[in-house]
Amino acid sequence: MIEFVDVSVTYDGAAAPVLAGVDLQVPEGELCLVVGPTGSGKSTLLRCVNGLVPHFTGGRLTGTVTVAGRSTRDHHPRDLADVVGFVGQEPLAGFVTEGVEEELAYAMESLGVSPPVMRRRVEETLDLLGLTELRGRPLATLSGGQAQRVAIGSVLTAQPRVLVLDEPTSALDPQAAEEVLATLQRLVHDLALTVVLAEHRLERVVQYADRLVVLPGDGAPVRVGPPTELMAASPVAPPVVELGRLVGWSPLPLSVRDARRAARGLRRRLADNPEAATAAGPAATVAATGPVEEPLAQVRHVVVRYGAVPALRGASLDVRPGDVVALMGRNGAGKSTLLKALVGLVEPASGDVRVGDLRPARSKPSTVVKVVGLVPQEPTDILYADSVGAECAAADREAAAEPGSCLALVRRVAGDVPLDRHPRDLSEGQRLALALAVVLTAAPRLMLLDEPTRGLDYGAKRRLVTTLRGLADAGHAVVLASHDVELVAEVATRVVVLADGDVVADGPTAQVVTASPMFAPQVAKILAPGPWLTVTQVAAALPAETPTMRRFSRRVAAEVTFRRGGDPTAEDAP
Amino acid sequence: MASPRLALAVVATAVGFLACTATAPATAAATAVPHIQAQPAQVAAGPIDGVRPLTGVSYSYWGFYQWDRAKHAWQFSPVGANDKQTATATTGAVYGFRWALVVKTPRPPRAPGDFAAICGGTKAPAGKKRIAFVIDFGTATDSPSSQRPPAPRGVCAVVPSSATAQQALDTVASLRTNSSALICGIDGYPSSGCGQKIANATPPPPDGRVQLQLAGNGPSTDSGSSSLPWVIVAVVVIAALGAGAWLLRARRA
Amino acid sequence: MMRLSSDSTRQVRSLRPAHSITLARTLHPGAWWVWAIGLAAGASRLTNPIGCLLLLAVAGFVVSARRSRAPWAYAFGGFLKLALLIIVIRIVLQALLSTESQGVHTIVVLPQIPLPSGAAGLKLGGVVTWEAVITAFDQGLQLATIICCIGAANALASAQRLLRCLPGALYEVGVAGVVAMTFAPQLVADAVRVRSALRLRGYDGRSVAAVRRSAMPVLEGALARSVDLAAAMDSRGYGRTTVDRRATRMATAGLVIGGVVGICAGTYGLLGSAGSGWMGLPTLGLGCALAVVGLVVGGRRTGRSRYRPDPWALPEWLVAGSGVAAAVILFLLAHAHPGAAVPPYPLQMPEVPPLLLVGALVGVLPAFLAPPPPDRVVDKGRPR
Repeated sequence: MIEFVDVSVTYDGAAAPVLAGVDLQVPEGELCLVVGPTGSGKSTLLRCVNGLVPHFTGGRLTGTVTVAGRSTRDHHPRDLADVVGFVGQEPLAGFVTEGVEEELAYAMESLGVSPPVMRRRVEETLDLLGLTELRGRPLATLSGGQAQRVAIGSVLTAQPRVLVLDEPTSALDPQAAEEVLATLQRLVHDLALTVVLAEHRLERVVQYADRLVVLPGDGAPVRVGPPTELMAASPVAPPVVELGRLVGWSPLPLSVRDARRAARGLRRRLADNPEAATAAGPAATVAATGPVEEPLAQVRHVVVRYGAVPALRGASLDVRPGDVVALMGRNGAGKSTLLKALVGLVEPASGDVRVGDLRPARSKPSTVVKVVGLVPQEPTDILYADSVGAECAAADREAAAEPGSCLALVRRVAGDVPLDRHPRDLSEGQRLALALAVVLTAAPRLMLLDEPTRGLDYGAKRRLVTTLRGLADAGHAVVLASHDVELVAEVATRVVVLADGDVVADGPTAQVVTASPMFAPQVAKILAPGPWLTVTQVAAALPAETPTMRRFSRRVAAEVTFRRGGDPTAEDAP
Repeated sequence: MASPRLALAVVATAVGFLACTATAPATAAATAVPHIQAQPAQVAAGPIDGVRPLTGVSYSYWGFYQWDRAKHAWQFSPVGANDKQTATATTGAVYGFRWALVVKTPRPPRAPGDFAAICGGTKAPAGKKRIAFVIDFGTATDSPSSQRPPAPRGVCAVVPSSATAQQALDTVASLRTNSSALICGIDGYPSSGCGQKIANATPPPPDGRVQLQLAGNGPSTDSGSSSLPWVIVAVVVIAALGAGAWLLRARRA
Repeated sequence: MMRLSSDSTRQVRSLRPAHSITLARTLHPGAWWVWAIGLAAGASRLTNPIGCLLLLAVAGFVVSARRSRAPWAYAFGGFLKLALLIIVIRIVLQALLSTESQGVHTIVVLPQIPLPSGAAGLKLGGVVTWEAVITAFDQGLQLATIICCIGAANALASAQRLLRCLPGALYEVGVAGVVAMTFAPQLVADAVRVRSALRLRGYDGRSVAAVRRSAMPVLEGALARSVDLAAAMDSRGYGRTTVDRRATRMATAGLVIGGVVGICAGTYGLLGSAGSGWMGLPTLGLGCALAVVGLVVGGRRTGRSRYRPDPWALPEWLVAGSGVAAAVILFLLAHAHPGAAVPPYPLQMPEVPPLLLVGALVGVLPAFLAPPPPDRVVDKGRPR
């Protein structure tokens, strides 16, 4: 169905090709997963399938890409619209019309499909994707998962034989991601559609994949094959695979179900050593801070309204120094609003927010930033300069910090970042690091992060975890809103679950997270009822036997070094 | 959510439009281009006279005149009826208004400005002055439409001593003015328009003399009162529609 | 067999459901726009405040009665606020900038600021008269009414839906319009978000420097999004079926542009009070004819099809007709009773001839003659 023969892509002005010598064949009816670190060319590969590369993006493509017998060399993306359906990262950005039905019909109108056929196909697609309830809704009122399903539907009506999706679930909460993935599953199984998709959150999709394309980045050759084989050596891997590699399971399990079957022996071995879980887990920091300190921030019965719609209905929260609090809950539960209230971007209609002895919404922004800092969902919202160097210099000036302190922070979080690069051209991880450093330059004791892991690969996430733990150990407090259960399990000391603007659960991570299958990380699901949440904990509990295990123990050691103020990147550089 | 969309565009247009319309009458009056007809002061004197023969265009309009007691004749007023200079007039002043087609020579009211005849029977309290007005609606041939001109009348105004001629006239006749306060109609004559442009008009025959109708004070017509019941109906309809809209809105919410 | 055929004849005679005025469906957006433009054209002939208020009330009532639940349906309230703002601005400007003498009934004497002689005829401050203020109010109200009529059309049928109904030849223009209209609010939303994020860097968000600083992320975001949109449209077949012959394209463009110029000139001749009304109609007719020919020629070159086009049936005729009727009646009124359309004495109670009432009330008919929007009926049927 899809055939790449010796494909290389070089963008204009780039020194090295993004993709080099890719050979790939995807037969009909397969779900093909493209994985790799940020910047390894996943999006480029996907865009080659329908000819957006190079017809739309420019650059130079050598070799041939053939889809259903049509070569992208002489077919533009619009000529492939009836063969390849392409869904980009931001569904809202790709919508052309304003209503669900019209959006579904748009591609068919362009292709000149006759009205009765259009009518029939729209009805079929509404049923297939479960969109019947939404048919009359304006697109602007859809939730993330609904919008993503409409975006899929809008390309399906042209009846393509291949569906290409670029990170379809990265912006979605776990429930909405389930919805979308279940839809994709159905399309593959019922319609024998060929699906090619890129995704960072492998734990969500890897078990559904028939074929894996691993782009290691840095010019290393692309590997294609069955997931079980390739996962063994992939530079990015979900926790279930990490655990399998650590223990040396073969065949490597990809789903929680398979891993749990294989883990019977492991559970028994770990049961002998339960205290290791607390020793290596995030809870360790709580124990270290000793007696309960005065809260750094207090939120009392806060109500926040947008117009008539309440976003928070009386939520309360205490944050103490050394806490890493994770706010979880579905989209629209009030997580972002709570963060905004803490930093004073929204003023509560009633209730009280205090950070130290400051009421953030009533205080001057320049004093607030010295006490509490927020990294917003879009880090670029707080980046204004045209290069990393200028941004850092501005941050130093604003915070009256010593010149170079911001840059030092950037280097500590993200390693070496080119100073003359525009913030928009950085990778997601580097951009987040820059925003984090800019906010940290003012040295706030309370650090807030809104969805920090959107679009981050595993390496960047690991560095983020190390940084946040380091901050907590240094007496800062961190509050982060996240859908990423694996990240939360790694870093949070406490989890607060919000629903409908209210706190419905608040407690130590291990308790809250294991209580609900929705919020449980993969390791917890595999090793339940044990107290294990992360692979790091398991590695610490097992005597070092295999090379992979040694790498894990090294990482634990590196984190300890970092907490003492050392440089973790020296150890962690892959 | 949708309102900012058009609102933005509309605000921009509206603000521009407002600025234009608010200043437009001002600038138009200032430059007094020939089609601003009823500006007696400037029609009489200044550059307009030089322009008119070239264009061959004449105007019908309400001309403003002052009675010269010494010469016992009407003089075309050098200033407008609402000019501050006219406020300096004291008891005994006589002003004339004449609707006429003016081709070259001014056409003053056809009756003399007899102060004693017009204001003789009226008394003024202290601090007020008496001003006599001669209002000549012209001949049927001067009429811009089929509307018949009323009979010329003389009337006496008793006004504060700081009042201008136009303010004084306003107390004894109903004035229709344009947005620059030029007098376009007196007592509903003519009923519409503000002066009339006539190309290549033949000079009208010389005017005869007429007898003034002398009346008491107060505007002679009051066209508004006849439609009062309809005004009430309209207000009721507006209220009903407004209330209906409100109810429909509340029912949906 | 006999019965069957007689049945089918009866069916042929029965009304198409689109003609029903009670069956819930969305009305053709064009009908709402014709109605609204009719009312606005009528308002353009009235400075009678009672007449303008009547038209405002009519527009508000129809909107309340027939709007849907879509987000744009709440636009009318915003337009009302805008209308109020316009009236206030108009009065303030008039009071501050009015000419040397407007009327004789003084309200207040403001200190006058002397202006250089170049601004002859303009003044700043000075005497403010009742005549000036009330005239300004009347004119402001007229403009406000016209804007609210357009606002009503927006609330009842969004401009985006109207653009979807453009003839095939103008398809690209329509798409560009739709995209622009989705972009503007997103840009505003982005600007609000980025401006609030300025606080996170310790800025107040009000200073010029701060605004300049936030412009960059907003514009870059908009650019990135437009590239995304272009990619999405391209990969969904946009522009694929267009048969592009240079000659046809040029002919279409020439005809349509000529037609539009003709329509503009004709409309100006008709609506403008410049006294050249007699040449308005032929120019308008010629313009329309040119435009129609252009659109027909241009429409042939597209191989696009249309999904569920809105029908134009009896309710559309009724709604559009009521707008046209209102405009015609109000134009007649302006001709027959100039004193009622444009009250000559600002300080007197304006005249209200019955014709004015009739003209305005014709405009309220769509509240009863247009079919109700579909989502409302669903609501009623749903158990609470």
